[in-house]
Amino acid sequence: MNETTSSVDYSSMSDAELAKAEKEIARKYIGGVPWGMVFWWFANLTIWFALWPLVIFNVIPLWVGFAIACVNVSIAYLPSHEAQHSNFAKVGHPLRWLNELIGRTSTIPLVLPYGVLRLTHMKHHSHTNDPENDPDYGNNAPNAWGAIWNSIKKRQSGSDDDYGKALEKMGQTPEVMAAIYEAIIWRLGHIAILIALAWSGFALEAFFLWFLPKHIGMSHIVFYLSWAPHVPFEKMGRYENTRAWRSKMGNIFSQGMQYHVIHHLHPAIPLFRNGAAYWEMRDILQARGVQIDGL
Amino acid sequence: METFLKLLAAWMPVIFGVGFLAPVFAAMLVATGVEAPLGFAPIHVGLAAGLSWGLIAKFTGRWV
Repeated sequence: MNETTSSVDYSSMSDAELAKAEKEIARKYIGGVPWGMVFWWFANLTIWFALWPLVIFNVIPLWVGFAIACVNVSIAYLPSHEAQHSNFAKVGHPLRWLNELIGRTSTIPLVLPYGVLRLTHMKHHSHTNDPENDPDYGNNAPNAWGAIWNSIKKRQSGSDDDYGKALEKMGQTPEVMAAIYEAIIWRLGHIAILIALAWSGFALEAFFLWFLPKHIGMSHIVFYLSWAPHVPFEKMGRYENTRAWRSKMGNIFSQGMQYHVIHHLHPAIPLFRNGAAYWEMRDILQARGVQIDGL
Repeated sequence: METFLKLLAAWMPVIFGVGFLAPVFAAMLVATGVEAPLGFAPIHVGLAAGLSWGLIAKFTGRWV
Protein backbone atom coordinates (compact mmCIF):
# COMPACT_ATOMS: atom_id res chain seq x y z
CA MET A 1 0.00 0.00 0.00
CA ASN A 2 1.34 3.44 -0.94
CA GLU A 3 1.19 5.31 2.36
CA THR A 4 1.67 8.78 0.89
CA THR A 5 -0.75 11.62 1.04
CA SER A 6 -1.58 14.55 -1.20
CA SER A 7 0.44 17.80 -1.42
CA VAL A 8 -2.75 19.87 -1.86
CA ASP A 9 -3.64 22.12 1.12
CA TYR A 10 -7.15 20.99 2.01
CA SER A 11 -7.27 22.79 5.34
CA SER A 12 -8.24 26.11 3.72
CA MET A 13 -10.95 24.64 1.47
CA SER A 14 -14.68 25.13 2.01
CA ASP A 15 -16.99 22.19 2.74
CA ALA A 16 -18.26 22.28 -0.83
CA GLU A 17 -14.73 22.18 -2.23
CA LEU A 18 -13.77 19.33 0.09
CA ALA A 19 -16.90 17.38 -0.91
CA LYS A 20 -16.08 17.86 -4.58
CA ALA A 21 -12.45 16.77 -4.14
CA GLU A 22 -13.54 13.75 -2.08
CA LYS A 23 -16.08 12.68 -4.69
CA GLU A 24 -13.55 13.00 -7.49
CA ILE A 25 -11.15 10.69 -5.68
CA ALA A 26 -13.91 8.22 -4.74
CA ARG A 27 -15.12 8.04 -8.35
CA LYS A 28 -11.73 6.70 -9.43
CA TYR A 29 -12.10 3.65 -7.21
CA ILE A 30 -15.73 2.79 -7.99
CA GLY A 31 -16.80 0.47 -10.78
CA GLY A 32 -15.99 -2.87 -12.34
CA VAL A 33 -16.39 -6.31 -10.81
CA PRO A 34 -14.03 -6.85 -7.84
CA TRP A 35 -12.73 -10.18 -9.15
CA GLY A 36 -10.32 -10.54 -6.24
CA MET A 37 -13.29 -10.77 -3.93
CA VAL A 38 -15.00 -13.25 -6.27
CA PHE A 39 -11.88 -15.41 -5.95
CA TRP A 40 -11.94 -14.93 -2.14
CA TRP A 41 -15.55 -16.16 -2.01
CA PHE A 42 -14.97 -19.17 -4.27
CA ALA A 43 -11.68 -20.27 -2.71
CA ASN A 44 -12.84 -19.83 0.86
CA LEU A 45 -16.08 -21.74 0.41
CA THR A 46 -14.40 -24.50 -1.63
CA ILE A 47 -11.69 -25.00 0.98
CA TRP A 48 -14.19 -25.09 3.86
CA PHE A 49 -16.37 -27.69 2.11
CA ALA A 50 -13.27 -29.69 1.15
CA LEU A 51 -12.20 -29.88 4.79
CA TRP A 52 -15.04 -32.28 5.56
CA PRO A 53 -13.98 -35.20 3.33
CA LEU A 54 -10.31 -34.42 3.96
CA VAL A 55 -10.79 -34.82 7.71
CA ILE A 56 -13.35 -37.63 7.58
CA PHE A 57 -11.09 -39.74 5.32
CA ASN A 58 -8.02 -38.90 7.45
CA VAL A 59 -6.20 -37.06 4.67
CA ILE A 60 -5.48 -34.27 7.17
CA PRO A 61 -5.74 -34.44 10.97
CA LEU A 62 -8.71 -32.86 12.70
CA TRP A 63 -6.61 -30.19 14.42
CA VAL A 64 -5.30 -28.97 11.04
CA GLY A 65 -8.86 -28.93 9.72
CA PHE A 66 -9.95 -26.98 12.78
CA ALA A 67 -7.22 -24.34 12.29
CA ILE A 68 -8.12 -23.91 8.61
CA ALA A 69 -11.85 -23.83 9.39
CA CYS A 70 -11.30 -21.01 11.89
CA VAL A 71 -9.72 -18.94 9.11
CA ASN A 72 -12.44 -19.94 6.62
CA VAL A 73 -15.26 -18.92 8.93
CA SER A 74 -13.58 -15.68 10.02
CA ILE A 75 -13.19 -14.47 6.43
CA ALA A 76 -16.55 -15.78 5.19
CA TYR A 77 -18.45 -12.56 5.85
CA LEU A 78 -16.73 -9.99 3.63
CA PRO A 79 -17.71 -11.37 0.18
CA SER A 80 -21.33 -11.26 1.36
CA HIS A 81 -20.74 -7.73 2.60
CA GLU A 82 -19.71 -6.62 -0.90
CA ALA A 83 -22.85 -8.30 -2.26
CA GLN A 84 -25.04 -6.52 0.31
CA HIS A 85 -23.83 -3.28 -1.28
CA SER A 86 -24.32 -4.72 -4.79
CA ASN A 87 -20.61 -4.14 -5.47
CA PHE A 88 -20.31 -7.19 -7.73
CA ALA A 89 -23.26 -6.16 -9.89
CA LYS A 90 -26.17 -3.75 -9.45
CA VAL A 91 -29.80 -4.65 -10.18
CA GLY A 92 -30.21 -5.15 -13.94
CA HIS A 93 -26.53 -5.93 -14.57
CA PRO A 94 -25.93 -9.22 -16.45
CA LEU A 95 -23.84 -10.47 -13.50
CA ARG A 96 -26.51 -9.68 -10.90
CA TRP A 97 -26.95 -13.44 -10.38
CA LEU A 98 -23.29 -13.64 -9.29
CA ASN A 99 -23.81 -10.85 -6.77
CA GLU A 100 -26.77 -12.67 -5.25
CA LEU A 101 -25.05 -16.08 -5.37
CA ILE A 102 -22.04 -14.74 -3.48
CA GLY A 103 -24.24 -12.90 -1.00
CA ARG A 104 -26.31 -15.97 -0.23
CA THR A 105 -23.56 -18.58 -0.09
CA SER A 106 -20.45 -16.94 1.34
CA THR A 107 -21.85 -16.88 4.86
CA ILE A 108 -22.85 -20.57 4.94
CA PRO A 109 -19.96 -21.36 7.34
CA LEU A 110 -21.13 -18.51 9.59
CA VAL A 111 -24.80 -19.48 9.31
CA LEU A 112 -25.79 -15.86 8.67
CA PRO A 113 -28.72 -15.41 6.25
CA TYR A 114 -28.18 -12.88 3.46
CA GLY A 115 -31.67 -11.34 3.64
CA VAL A 116 -31.24 -10.41 7.30
CA LEU A 117 -27.67 -9.22 6.80
CA ARG A 118 -28.56 -6.96 3.88
CA LEU A 119 -31.54 -5.31 5.58
CA THR A 120 -29.84 -4.78 8.93
CA HIS A 121 -26.57 -3.64 7.37
CA MET A 122 -28.32 -0.90 5.42
CA LYS A 123 -29.83 0.25 8.73
CA HIS A 124 -26.36 0.22 10.25
CA HIS A 125 -25.16 2.53 7.48
CA SER A 126 -28.08 4.93 7.74
CA HIS A 127 -28.03 5.06 11.57
CA THR A 128 -24.41 4.33 12.53
CA ASN A 129 -23.87 4.60 16.30
CA ASP A 130 -27.51 5.51 16.95
CA PRO A 131 -28.38 3.60 20.15
CA GLU A 132 -32.01 3.17 19.05
CA ASN A 133 -31.67 2.42 15.36
CA ASP A 134 -28.23 0.97 14.62
CA PRO A 135 -28.60 -2.85 14.76
CA ASP A 136 -24.86 -3.11 15.49
CA TYR A 137 -24.87 -0.66 18.37
CA GLY A 138 -25.04 -3.58 20.82
CA ASN A 139 -21.43 -4.39 19.93
CA ASN A 140 -20.19 -1.35 21.80
CA ALA A 141 -17.87 -1.98 24.74
CA PRO A 142 -15.33 0.15 26.60
CA ASN A 143 -12.29 -1.95 25.66
CA ALA A 144 -11.07 -4.80 23.45
CA TRP A 145 -11.65 -7.64 25.92
CA GLY A 146 -15.03 -6.18 26.78
CA ALA A 147 -15.90 -6.26 23.08
CA ILE A 148 -15.00 -9.95 22.75
CA TRP A 149 -16.85 -10.91 25.94
CA ASN A 150 -19.83 -8.84 24.85
CA SER A 151 -19.92 -10.68 21.53
CA ILE A 152 -19.89 -14.04 23.34
CA LYS A 153 -22.67 -12.92 25.69
CA LYS A 154 -24.80 -11.75 22.78
CA ARG A 155 -24.77 -15.28 21.35
CA GLN A 156 -26.33 -16.74 24.51
CA SER A 157 -29.74 -18.32 24.20
CA GLY A 158 -31.48 -15.68 26.32
CA SER A 159 -29.71 -12.56 25.03
CA ASP A 160 -31.32 -9.72 23.08
CA ASP A 161 -31.72 -10.36 19.38
CA ASP A 162 -30.64 -6.97 17.96
CA TYR A 163 -31.18 -7.97 14.34
CA GLY A 164 -34.60 -9.44 15.15
CA LYS A 165 -35.61 -6.18 16.83
CA ALA A 166 -34.33 -4.18 13.87
CA LEU A 167 -36.42 -6.28 11.47
CA GLU A 168 -39.48 -5.86 13.70
CA LYS A 169 -39.08 -2.06 13.49
CA MET A 170 -39.03 -2.24 9.69
CA GLY A 171 -42.58 -3.63 9.66
CA GLN A 172 -44.00 -6.74 8.01
CA THR A 173 -42.98 -5.95 4.44
CA PRO A 174 -42.55 -8.87 2.00
CA GLU A 175 -38.77 -8.34 2.11
CA VAL A 176 -38.67 -8.43 5.92
CA MET A 177 -40.93 -11.49 6.12
CA ALA A 178 -38.77 -13.30 3.55
CA ALA A 179 -35.68 -12.47 5.62
CA ILE A 180 -37.33 -13.78 8.78
CA TYR A 181 -38.34 -17.07 7.12
CA GLU A 182 -34.85 -17.38 5.66
CA ALA A 183 -33.34 -16.87 9.14
CA ILE A 184 -35.59 -19.54 10.66
CA ILE A 185 -34.70 -22.05 7.94
CA TRP A 186 -30.97 -21.31 8.29
CA ARG A 187 -31.02 -21.64 12.07
CA LEU A 188 -33.08 -24.81 12.19
CA GLY A 189 -31.18 -26.27 9.25
CA HIS A 190 -27.84 -25.63 10.93
CA ILE A 191 -28.91 -27.31 14.16
CA ALA A 192 -30.47 -30.24 12.27
CA ILE A 193 -27.26 -30.77 10.28
CA LEU A 194 -25.10 -30.60 13.42
CA ILE A 195 -27.34 -33.11 15.21
CA ALA A 196 -27.45 -35.44 12.19
CA LEU A 197 -23.64 -35.34 11.87
CA ALA A 198 -23.15 -35.89 15.59
CA TRP A 199 -25.40 -38.98 15.73
CA SER A 200 -23.86 -40.37 12.52
CA GLY A 201 -20.42 -40.70 14.07
CA PHE A 202 -19.06 -37.28 13.03
CA ALA A 203 -19.58 -35.40 16.29
CA LEU A 204 -15.99 -34.18 16.60
CA GLU A 205 -15.88 -33.14 12.95
CA ALA A 206 -19.11 -31.16 13.36
CA PHE A 207 -17.78 -29.55 16.52
CA PHE A 208 -14.28 -28.67 15.29
CA LEU A 209 -15.04 -27.84 11.65
CA TRP A 210 -18.22 -25.86 12.15
CA PHE A 211 -19.56 -25.20 15.66
CA LEU A 212 -16.39 -23.96 17.38
CA PRO A 213 -14.90 -22.16 14.33
CA LYS A 214 -18.24 -20.38 13.91
CA HIS A 215 -18.00 -18.94 17.42
CA ILE A 216 -14.33 -18.03 17.06
CA GLY A 217 -15.04 -16.47 13.66
CA MET A 218 -18.00 -14.48 14.99
CA SER A 219 -15.85 -13.05 17.79
CA HIS A 220 -13.19 -12.07 15.26
CA ILE A 221 -15.73 -10.48 12.93
CA VAL A 222 -17.58 -8.55 15.62
CA PHE A 223 -14.30 -7.29 17.04
CA TYR A 224 -12.65 -6.14 13.82
CA LEU A 225 -15.60 -5.32 11.59
CA SER A 226 -17.88 -3.71 14.14
CA TRP A 227 -16.20 -2.75 17.40
CA ALA A 228 -12.75 -1.56 16.34
CA PRO A 229 -13.83 0.84 13.54
CA HIS A 230 -16.69 2.39 15.53
CA VAL A 231 -15.38 2.60 19.06
CA PRO A 232 -16.33 4.66 21.13
CA PHE A 233 -19.78 4.42 19.45
CA GLU A 234 -20.62 7.98 20.49
CA LYS A 235 -20.79 10.23 17.44
CA MET A 236 -23.24 9.83 14.58
CA GLY A 237 -22.00 12.40 12.05
CA ARG A 238 -20.91 11.26 8.58
CA TYR A 239 -17.26 12.05 9.31
CA GLU A 240 -17.40 11.11 12.98
CA ASN A 241 -19.11 7.71 13.21
CA THR A 242 -16.17 5.64 11.92
CA ARG A 243 -12.46 6.03 12.55
CA ALA A 244 -9.30 5.22 10.61
CA TRP A 245 -6.94 3.23 12.82
CA ARG A 246 -3.77 1.20 12.71
CA SER A 247 -4.33 -2.38 13.81
CA LYS A 248 -1.68 -3.92 16.08
CA MET A 249 -2.31 -7.19 14.26
CA GLY A 250 -1.86 -5.71 10.79
CA ASN A 251 -4.24 -4.98 7.94
CA ILE A 252 -4.71 -8.59 6.77
CA PHE A 253 -5.58 -10.00 10.21
CA SER A 254 -7.99 -7.11 10.74
CA GLN A 255 -9.54 -7.85 7.32
CA GLY A 256 -8.83 -4.39 5.90
CA MET A 257 -10.88 -2.67 8.57
CA GLN A 258 -8.21 -0.05 9.24
CA TYR A 259 -9.76 1.75 6.26
CA HIS A 260 -13.40 1.12 7.22
CA VAL A 261 -14.07 4.86 7.23
CA ILE A 262 -13.76 4.79 3.43
CA HIS A 263 -16.43 2.09 3.28
CA HIS A 264 -18.83 4.17 5.37
CA LEU A 265 -18.28 7.27 3.26
CA HIS A 266 -18.28 5.46 -0.09
CA PRO A 267 -19.76 1.92 0.21
CA ALA A 268 -19.49 1.38 -3.54
CA ILE A 269 -15.68 1.27 -3.30
CA PRO A 270 -14.77 -2.45 -3.00
CA LEU A 271 -12.77 -3.59 0.01
CA PHE A 272 -9.54 -4.17 -1.91
CA ARG A 273 -9.48 -0.52 -3.04
CA ASN A 274 -10.29 1.04 0.35
CA GLY A 275 -6.63 1.35 1.34
CA ALA A 276 -5.55 3.15 -1.82
CA ALA A 277 -8.60 5.43 -1.65
CA TYR A 278 -7.82 6.19 1.98
CA TRP A 279 -4.27 7.30 1.31
CA GLU A 280 -5.37 9.51 -1.54
CA MET A 281 -8.21 10.96 0.56
CA ARG A 282 -6.47 11.08 3.93
CA ASP A 283 -5.84 14.85 4.06
CA ILE A 284 -9.45 15.56 3.10
CA LEU A 285 -10.65 13.22 5.83
CA GLN A 286 -8.39 14.98 8.31
CA ALA A 287 -9.75 18.36 7.24
CA ARG A 288 -13.26 16.95 7.72
CA GLY A 289 -12.46 15.92 11.29
CA VAL A 290 -12.31 12.14 10.89
CA GLN A 291 -10.70 10.43 13.90
CA ILE A 292 -7.38 9.08 12.64
CA ASP A 293 -5.60 6.81 15.09
CA GLY A 294 -2.02 6.15 13.98
CA LEU A 295 -2.77 5.58 10.29
CA MET B 1 -46.91 -22.45 13.05
CA GLU B 2 -45.85 -19.40 15.06
CA THR B 3 -46.76 -21.13 18.34
CA PHE B 4 -44.82 -24.22 17.33
CA LEU B 5 -41.76 -22.16 16.39
CA LYS B 6 -41.89 -20.25 19.69
CA LEU B 7 -42.10 -23.53 21.61
CA LEU B 8 -39.23 -24.93 19.59
CA ALA B 9 -37.13 -21.82 20.24
CA ALA B 10 -37.87 -21.99 23.97
CA TRP B 11 -36.70 -25.60 24.20
CA MET B 12 -33.87 -25.25 21.68
CA PRO B 13 -31.11 -25.20 24.34
CA VAL B 14 -32.31 -28.59 25.62
CA ILE B 15 -32.66 -29.99 22.10
CA PHE B 16 -29.18 -28.71 21.32
CA GLY B 17 -27.73 -30.09 24.56
CA VAL B 18 -29.15 -33.57 24.01
CA GLY B 19 -28.98 -33.62 20.22
CA PHE B 20 -25.53 -32.15 19.65
CA LEU B 21 -23.53 -31.65 22.83
CA ALA B 22 -24.25 -35.15 24.19
CA PRO B 23 -22.66 -37.04 21.28
CA VAL B 24 -19.83 -34.47 21.19
CA PHE B 25 -19.06 -35.09 24.88
CA ALA B 26 -19.23 -38.85 24.31
CA ALA B 27 -16.91 -38.65 21.31
CA MET B 28 -14.47 -36.51 23.31
CA LEU B 29 -14.40 -39.11 26.11
CA VAL B 30 -13.67 -41.85 23.60
CA ALA B 31 -11.05 -39.78 21.73
CA THR B 32 -9.19 -38.84 24.90
CA GLY B 33 -9.43 -42.34 26.40
CA VAL B 34 -11.16 -41.10 29.55
CA GLU B 35 -13.20 -43.86 31.22
CA ALA B 36 -16.83 -43.09 32.03
CA PRO B 37 -17.46 -43.51 35.79
CA LEU B 38 -19.47 -46.38 37.38
CA GLY B 39 -19.34 -48.45 34.23
CA PHE B 40 -21.54 -46.09 32.25
CA ALA B 41 -21.11 -45.86 28.49
CA PRO B 42 -19.63 -42.58 27.12
CA ILE B 43 -22.97 -41.66 25.54
CA HIS B 44 -24.72 -41.94 28.93
CA VAL B 45 -22.27 -39.44 30.39
CA GLY B 46 -22.69 -37.28 27.29
CA LEU B 47 -26.46 -37.33 27.58
CA ALA B 48 -26.36 -36.45 31.28
CA ALA B 49 -23.95 -33.55 30.66
CA GLY B 50 -25.74 -32.33 27.52
CA LEU B 51 -29.19 -32.48 29.12
CA SER B 52 -27.99 -30.73 32.28
CA TRP B 53 -26.21 -27.97 30.41
CA GLY B 54 -29.15 -27.55 28.04
CA LEU B 55 -31.58 -27.21 30.95
CA ILE B 56 -29.30 -24.68 32.66
CA ALA B 57 -29.12 -22.69 29.42
CA LYS B 58 -32.89 -22.85 28.97
CA PHE B 59 -33.74 -21.62 32.45
CA THR B 60 -30.90 -19.09 32.92
CA GLY B 61 -30.70 -17.92 29.31
CA ARG B 62 -26.92 -18.41 29.29
CA TRP B 63 -24.54 -21.15 28.21
CA VAL B 64 -21.54 -19.57 29.94
